[in-house]
Amino acid sequence: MKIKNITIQGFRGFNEERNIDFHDRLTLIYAPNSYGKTSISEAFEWLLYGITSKVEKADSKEEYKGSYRNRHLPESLTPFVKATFVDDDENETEFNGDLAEDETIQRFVNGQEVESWPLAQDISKVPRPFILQHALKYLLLVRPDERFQGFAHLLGLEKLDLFQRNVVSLCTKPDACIPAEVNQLLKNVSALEACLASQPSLATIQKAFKKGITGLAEAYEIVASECRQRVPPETEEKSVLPQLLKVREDAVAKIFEGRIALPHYSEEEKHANSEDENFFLICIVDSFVKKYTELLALSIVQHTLERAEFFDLGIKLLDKTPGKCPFCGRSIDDALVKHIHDEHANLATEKKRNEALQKQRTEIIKLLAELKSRLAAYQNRHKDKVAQLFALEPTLDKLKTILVPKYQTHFNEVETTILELTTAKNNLETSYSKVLGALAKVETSVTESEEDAALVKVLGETLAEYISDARSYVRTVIGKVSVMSDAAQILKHELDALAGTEDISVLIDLLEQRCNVKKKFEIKGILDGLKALRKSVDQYVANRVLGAISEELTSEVMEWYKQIKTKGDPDVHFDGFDMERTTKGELKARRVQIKARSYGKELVSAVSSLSESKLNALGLCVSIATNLKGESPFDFLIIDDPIQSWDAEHEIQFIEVIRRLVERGRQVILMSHSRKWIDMVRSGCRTINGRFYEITGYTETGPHIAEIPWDRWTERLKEVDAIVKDPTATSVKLQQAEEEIRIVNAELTSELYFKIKGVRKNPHDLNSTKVRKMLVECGIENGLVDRITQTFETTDDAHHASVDYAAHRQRIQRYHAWAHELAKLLKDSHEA
Amino acid sequence: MNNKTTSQDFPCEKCLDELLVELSDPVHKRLIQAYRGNDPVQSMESELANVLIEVLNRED
Repeated sequence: MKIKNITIQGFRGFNEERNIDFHDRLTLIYAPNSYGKTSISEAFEWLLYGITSKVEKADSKEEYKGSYRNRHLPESLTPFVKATFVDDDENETEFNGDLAEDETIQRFVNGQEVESWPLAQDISKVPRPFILQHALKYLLLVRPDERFQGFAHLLGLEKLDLFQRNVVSLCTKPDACIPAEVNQLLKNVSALEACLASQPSLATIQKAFKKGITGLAEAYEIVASECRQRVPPETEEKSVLPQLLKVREDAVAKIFEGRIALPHYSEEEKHANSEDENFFLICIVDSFVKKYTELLALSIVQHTLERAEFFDLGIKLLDKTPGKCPFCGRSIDDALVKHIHDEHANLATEKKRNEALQKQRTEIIKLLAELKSRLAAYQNRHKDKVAQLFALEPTLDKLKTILVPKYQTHFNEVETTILELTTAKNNLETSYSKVLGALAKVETSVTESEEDAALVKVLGETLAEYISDARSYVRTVIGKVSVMSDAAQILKHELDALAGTEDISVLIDLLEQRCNVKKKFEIKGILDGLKALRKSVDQYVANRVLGAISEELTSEVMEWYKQIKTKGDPDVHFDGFDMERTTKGELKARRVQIKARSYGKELVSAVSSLSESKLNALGLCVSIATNLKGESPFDFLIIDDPIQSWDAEHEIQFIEVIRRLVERGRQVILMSHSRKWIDMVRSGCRTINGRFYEITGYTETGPHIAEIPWDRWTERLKEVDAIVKDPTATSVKLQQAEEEIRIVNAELTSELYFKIKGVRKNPHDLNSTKVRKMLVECGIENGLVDRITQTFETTDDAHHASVDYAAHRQRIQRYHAWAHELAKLLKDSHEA
Repeated sequence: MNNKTTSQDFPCEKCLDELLVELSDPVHKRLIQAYRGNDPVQSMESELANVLIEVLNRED
């Protein structure tokens, strides 16, 4: 799609509403610096993306807060940017973006509010159709990693770039992903390895351990051998470990018998806790409460049961004395007999309902018994967890003599932990007692048929409180496991030192923890292996990017660079893209190399070798190439001041690039601060007949934009004269002359109208109908009006030639003569 | 509007599949395979934790 026009109000440098119409091929906008040029490209960016790239890439977004709204726009007005886009089938769509108070954009399509623009593809995934002054800064003159990201973005490889960064982050810093229990294992085995290292007599084991998992079997053969040396020779294989344990325990017990032990909740225990808690919660839910309250009906229907028993007896007796009352012998009529039978049937139904409730009561009694039993198991599981540690309490004084002063902190930790866990345990026991109390009352109410809904409510509340306290208790225990494990290791170490059993202790640990040692090696292997994964991902991504930049981007950028390339000395130029390599030839991760060549020799890097002017030109070529690469819904390209810091030769070369972009179907909107260069572009693209604007001034109201004729009609007529007189002029040239005549006639009509009627009409908006009407209004004689109108006949109102159009020299010569007639009329009116 | 429909969206899934073919380590394969869904980083990190827990809980 192309842009037909844009209207801006209150956005950036624009205050009052301004409109700019664009040529469908080339529009030039000249303005001195700070006159609002960049606001135009920013308005487009904001309209399409809801954010400008300047704000998006800013280090501090805060600095740009409130920068979209023009400070001079009256409070009552809403800033907006509105643009009309035209698709390939000439359908027009108006996109309107209102700047909301929270700086977001409110989108409207043809006046209807929408969530997003109705574009067939996600425009965030195609290159933005803008080439901005600061584009180069973010691509070439940045750190290598940022350059890589810039290229990934240009090539649409952002997801791959992000993937690589995420994998690298995981592989270099996996610690956060290691579960606590795995960390505990690693820590325990590391402590064991440290103890092993401190035993010179066991150095051979340590040496084998250093080989990693491959040395494990060898290490354990030596462990077995060392163990044998420390037990009586006749000891059986299976008795070696118990024998060693006994030796150590006997020696250590002479010094201290207690143990610092606070184990983790095992997976099995965790599962049991979770199952029990779920069961407790079931007991609080509505279905249980409903069932319980239904039992209230039992007491109410009790008398019905008694009546039913009486009726049972009555019916049996009545069957034996038909027509007479079995109790008094009086006669009973058929109606009364039927009534008695009906009443009996009703009572039988009631009885059945009662039986169901009785069954329900039995179930509830069973459920309450199970609740009681599981509560006890749950409570004991938590109590048992700390039992060993609490057993240490009476011997704390003795423990102090062993650990203090060297391990004062660890001793304090043991004391504090016992204290904190005692408090947690007491809390838990208190709430447990409350639950048991509430449960007992509910049980009694059921067994004595005195159900009371309030009792169940209390049971629910106490259960909820108990579960909450239990979870808090578990958190306290888990939080202390690690510190107690450390203290246990210290105590063990100290006791072994005092008892002279350090080597035996290490051997015992090695035997007992053989499985953990193996797991530690495996886990370390997995974690160390992440380096290899990183390398694989680095190489894969580097190869993908290399493919994209060397196979596609290099040739496309080179194509544009050749257009812009300066020819003189020094011969230092861009020579393609590559990925940096190591000395072994492997691709370096995230390192895009921009190659340069000088007089046939490859240079180290373009960034360090090319002049600023050449780097700018290269940046521009990269932007153009990526914009033209692949499919995009945008057929326009907005280029904002490309020639800053360019030398004269690049300025001239770039004009050819603009022409080629137009020829390739791109609608180019080019802005520059250099009037001289813009005039050169206009001259170099003379036959494109685009539109040219000059921002002539700037005040509080915003920029003052004036449209300047692409070329003077006098100049155009001279060119037409030359073509018409040239007998060798091709049909293309003749068609151009015919087009020029129409432009001349539109401009002459516009000037004549202004001269006579005092109203200025834009010649770009004129077609045959409008021209005719204006000439008639100016009082031009009918013959000339008809002739001038006739010059528009070979095109439609949008100035497009019909499919069967053919340039015809005689016709064009006539048109040319008629244009001169109109020109003479204007000249005469000036002289008059 | 009559817009062009071809997208430059990067076929990330395809790349992951290509990479998986190049990897031989089963753990590495699992981690890359986990890089999917709404939060691929979280998914990959969880997978690493799962791998380690499996080693820890394995009965030898």
